[in-house]
Amino acid sequence: MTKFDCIIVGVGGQGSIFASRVLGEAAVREGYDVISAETHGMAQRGGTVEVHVRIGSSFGPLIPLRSADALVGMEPAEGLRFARYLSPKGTAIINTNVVPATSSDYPPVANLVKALKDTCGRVIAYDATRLALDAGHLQTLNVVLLGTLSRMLSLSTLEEVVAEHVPKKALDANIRAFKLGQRVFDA
Amino acid sequence: MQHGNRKFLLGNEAIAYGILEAGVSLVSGYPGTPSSEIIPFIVQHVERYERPPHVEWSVNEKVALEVAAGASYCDVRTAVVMKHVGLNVAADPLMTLAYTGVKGGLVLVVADDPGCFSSQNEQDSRRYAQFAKIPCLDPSTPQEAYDFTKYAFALSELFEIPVMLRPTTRVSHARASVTLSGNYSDQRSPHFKKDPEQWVMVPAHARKRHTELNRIQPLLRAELSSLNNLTLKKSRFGVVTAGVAAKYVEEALKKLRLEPSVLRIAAYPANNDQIATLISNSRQLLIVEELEPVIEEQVNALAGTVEVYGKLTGHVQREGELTVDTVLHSIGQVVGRLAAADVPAVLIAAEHTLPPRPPVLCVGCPHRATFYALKKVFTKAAIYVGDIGCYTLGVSQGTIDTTLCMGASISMASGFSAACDKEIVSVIGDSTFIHTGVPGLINAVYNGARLTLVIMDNGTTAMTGHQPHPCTGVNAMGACTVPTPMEDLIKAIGVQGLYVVDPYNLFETEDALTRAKNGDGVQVVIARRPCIISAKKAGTPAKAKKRVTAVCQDYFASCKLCSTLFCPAINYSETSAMIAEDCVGCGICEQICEFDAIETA
Repeated sequence: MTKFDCIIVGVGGQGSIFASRVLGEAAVREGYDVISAETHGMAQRGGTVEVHVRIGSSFGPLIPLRSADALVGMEPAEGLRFARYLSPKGTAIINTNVVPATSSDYPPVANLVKALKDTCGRVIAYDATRLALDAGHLQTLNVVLLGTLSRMLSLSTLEEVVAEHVPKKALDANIRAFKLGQRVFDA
Repeated sequence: MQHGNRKFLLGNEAIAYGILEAGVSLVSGYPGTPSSEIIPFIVQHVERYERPPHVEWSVNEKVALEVAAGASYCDVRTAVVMKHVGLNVAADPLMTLAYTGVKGGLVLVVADDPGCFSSQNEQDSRRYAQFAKIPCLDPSTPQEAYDFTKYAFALSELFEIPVMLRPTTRVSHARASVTLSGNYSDQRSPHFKKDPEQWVMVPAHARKRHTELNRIQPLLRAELSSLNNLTLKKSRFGVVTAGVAAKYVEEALKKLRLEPSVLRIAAYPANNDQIATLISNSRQLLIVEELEPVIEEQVNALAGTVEVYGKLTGHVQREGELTVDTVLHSIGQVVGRLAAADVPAVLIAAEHTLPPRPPVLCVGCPHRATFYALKKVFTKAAIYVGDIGCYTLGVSQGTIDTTLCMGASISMASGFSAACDKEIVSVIGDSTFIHTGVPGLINAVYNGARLTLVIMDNGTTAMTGHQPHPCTGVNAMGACTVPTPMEDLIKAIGVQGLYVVDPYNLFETEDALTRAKNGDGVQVVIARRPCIISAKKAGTPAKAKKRVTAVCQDYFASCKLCSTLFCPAINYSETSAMIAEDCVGCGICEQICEFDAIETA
């Protein structure tokens, strides 16, 4: 792995920023230059959260259109909203569990997944919310997806960095979540 | 001394390290996205000092800059932190501080927000630096933000002038690997030398200081040229760029396999000799900078017959933030190549089906309840004059009709009340009230305005990340201090009516608003309830979760009253409302439901 561009998106509160920090921290620890762009302030209040993470890059923090190696969508509509950043060969890792949007119709998830399949290399779409609950807590959703993403990366410290950054009482659930996510990629 | 180390830091944290390593004695500021994290990071790392610097959240940016100026006159290092629009508030001291100059290094960190991610405009602080004739450093990465911060203090002392560090959102809120030197300078010993000719800006002194300020301008240009970077190539095409856009240019040129000459400006006033050298080497120049065409205007003045492309010719997008893709498009236009990436039509079509997800007030936010009561009592007919904070989001409930700038709600409401005979409601948060609302309230009472002021007091500066303010009785360091008594302050101003209510109690809130509506002159209602985020952190969120009973189905088609709350925890099916797991039990929906279809779960 010399460079890896990844977009992590979700709804405020789903842990997109946390996932990006852990990913970046592990890459920095393994000697890569990393730059990421986070969403803060008004944009965070229950709205869309969009994080760009660039590993092995000396450029700016924003990933150009149609060039990301991976897209992690904590929520299907948000995943599709940022699919334009994904390279035609890139991989989309999408949670199929919907966060309803207030006062608006939500398109069928199958349509969203199909649009992704039509435009990128590989789509890994699954109910990551279910796996997070299986792992022990809804809040581990981001770590489930990070686990799936980890299979595309050669970052041996990622799991260890996750463990360092989650609250002690939630450690076991998060490690379970990470491993459940990994298994999805291998399946 | 510690050894250098490499960390994964937010741009704002890198700036905080730069400030701390420079040996500051005082840091002041007012929160505002994208600058808000700098002061909290300083507080977090302040224990490195044997004698920690004085760190404060000032009541507003003008006060913050004046506090710093006083300390700087005593020959100690100071940093002042704010967002771009905050500098409007601090513009008064800034313009004359450039005349008096400073002693201890004074670094003014002003974060700009191209694209208005969390701002009411996208003004360019480089214009202020130009206006005040002070140097401005324009970092492109968190690493540079750190390096430039440290250099800014030395520069400030070298020329005895305030220095602006101008990060943008994509620097302040970029997180990157940053190498820190770990070398902490010692704090300077305070010493104020009385010198009326320098410090007392009566006209005779000011004229002399203005001459001095103008004298150092060419010296500044020469000194700052070393931060810029000029790479001359054989190509007759040249690019001038700055800030994070310089990084986008680098990437775009690599994608296009182009090797033009590039001048990257990192500091202003920009050096004319470097620009002239590039001009003499080029036939076509493209200027790529965010916000205003500051460099472009300077290049135009020197360009002669060289073709200059940029914002003024429509080749670079005039508004919003730049990206690699907008830069690819700009370069493509000049060199005559299609350079931008193609988004497949199937993806664009699918994007159109997506539900919008705008920012909303949190589940359990007390403001939602206050807005509901306001709408009920004052109706759509009233004019709701808003302010800057989370409550700007009340626009979706139809209870925010204007948003201009910090504190404007009360003063503008005075204007509305003088100009028209509608009911006028002014809506402001507690922190914004203290920031610049108080003079507006004094003005309203003094000048006989007729309005109802609603202070949505959630006990914090919520939107920017929960910073304390004078009414909270806690300072930036987290220590207890004398709280500003909000009610006493308001009473002392002489308002005609003052009510304090809990917005979770709709009956009480509506009653107070009705009394205020029927009262004379200036009426104030303080709707007080901690921000739900603070309440959750403190372990005291509202009450028991709510659920919708089957009764809802009988009346659903004709009712949907709860949808006017815009509560993200209430979802709707074809036949009924449903309350989601993230309900915190504020109980507003239960209080408004006319069919008793909501109960404690």
